[in-house]
Formats: sequence, C-alpha cells, structure tokens
Amino acid sequence: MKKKIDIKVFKQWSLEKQMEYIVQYYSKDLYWVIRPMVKTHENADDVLQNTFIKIYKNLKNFRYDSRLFSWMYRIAVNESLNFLKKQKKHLTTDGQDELINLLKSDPYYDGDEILLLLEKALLKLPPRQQEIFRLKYFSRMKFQEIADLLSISVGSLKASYHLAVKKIKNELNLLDE
Amino acid sequence: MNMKNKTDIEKYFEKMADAYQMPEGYFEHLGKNFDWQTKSENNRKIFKINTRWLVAAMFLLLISLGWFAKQQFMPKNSLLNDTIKRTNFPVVNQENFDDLSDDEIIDYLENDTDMDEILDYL
Repeated sequence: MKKKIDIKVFKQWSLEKQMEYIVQYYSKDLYWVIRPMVKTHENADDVLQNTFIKIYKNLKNFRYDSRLFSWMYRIAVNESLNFLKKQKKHLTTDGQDELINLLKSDPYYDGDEILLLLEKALLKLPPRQQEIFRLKYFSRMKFQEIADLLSISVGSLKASYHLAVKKIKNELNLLDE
Repeated sequence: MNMKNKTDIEKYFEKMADAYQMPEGYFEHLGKNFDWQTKSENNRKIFKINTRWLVAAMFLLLISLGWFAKQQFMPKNSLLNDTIKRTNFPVVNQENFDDLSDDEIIDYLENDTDMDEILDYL
C-alpha cells in the first residue's frame, strides 16, 4: 500500500520522518529494483540497507529537481552495481555463471532450468536493456512510467525492449542448437 | 522450449519474475503506523479542537454567570419595593402617620415592616 504524498508536505517533515516515509513506502519498490540485479534475497537485503543509508546521508542535499523515486532508483542501481563490482573481485570467472549459481542456491528462488537459461541470456544483454527488462517485469512498471523514470521517449524505450527480446530469442535458439 | 513468437517469450519473462520469492510477510510490517500529519498540521488540528470547545465552554459559562447574577444580585422583592414606592399607601395618609415624612415611612416599610403583613394589606 502506497499513499501518494505532496512533495510540499514531504519537504516540511524532519529528516527522520522523511526517512520513515521512504522506508515504509518505497522499500518494496526499491527491493524489486535491486533483487533482479544481485539475484539472491540475502544480497538484495544488504544492498537495500546500503541504499537507505546513502539516501539518508544525501536526502538533505536532494534538490527536488527530479522525482524522489527517480533519485532513489538511481541510488539503488548504483549501489547494486557497486555490490556486483565488489563481488566480481572475489569471483574467478566473469561473474555471470557465478550469479546464476548463486541464484540456483537461493532458497527464495523458484525457477526451473528454462528460467535459469533465460536469466543467463538476460545477463548477456547491454546494461540499459537489462534495466528496461527489470523495470518491466520485476518492478511491474508500464512503458510510460519507465520512460519517465529513465528520461527517455516511449518510442526509443519500446525499440530497446524489442531489440532485447530479439537478442534473447537468438540466444535461446543458439542454446537450443 | 518452444518460443516462436513474442507473446510466448513474454509469458516466460513473467514466469522468470514470478520465480523470485521473498520471505513470507517480509514487508508487511511496513506502512501501517505512519503519522501523515506534519508537526504544524498536528498543532493546528489540536488548536482547532481546543478553540471549538473553548468557545462553547465560554458561552456556557457566560450564560450561567448571567443567570446566577440575576438570581444572586437582583433584590428578591424589587418589584414589590418599586410598587410600594410608586403607590400612595392609604396607611400614609391615615391620622397616626401624619407626623412622619415620606422618607421615614419608606424606611420603615423597607426595614421594619413584615412583608407578609404588607402583602396581606394589599
């Protein structure tokens, strides 16, 4: 349940109350931004906490030029990427296989082999296309909402999406052979 | 795996997202006890309630004060006294009272006369 709030009212609140609101009403959204990037629930939980710490530290400096969620979304994505970079240092391969293995071992993942193949194909996409995918399927956002969030036109967004679908289909056909 | 068209693959994408689970009730504790009012709004709200009750209480107080004042400070027999002052009592013109001035008679009536007696007389 999320209650929309007027940004003027939000600005009047103390920092603690603003954070309370963000934690209560954006945790779930931010979790579903982070989770498909870092794959496991445990990792997503850690990154979500780091994201909130960063939001708390920087909320004073937020100028309200952009939407609050867009700003938090960027922080969540950057935190997830930093987390993956740090993890890569400990990994032997390029990280994709390791991530898939992590996903397999996660008790909160319920996918079969086919879905794991799709995950693998998704990881091979360019970051922007992966991002569009995550927002469309994991955050359950509409094209218009994604376009607003990423500040791109709906047309180019749909083009990127269809290109990504095509790439995944190719990837899976190759895998089938 | 048979994914010939776009719709098929999109169904798989939906399944891909659904495969991600969360511990049960992971975010359920959130968003239940949030005070939506700002501090100033809260204060204003309390002030509004107080003012409303304060005004109502003041009215009641004034009305009851007025009533009590009427009861307490208005002479009980003021109407009677006024009547006595305005009326030419026959008793004043009787013989035995000829030597008394009007003021003395009024003084006598106000202080020493039993009011029941006067009422009987009237």
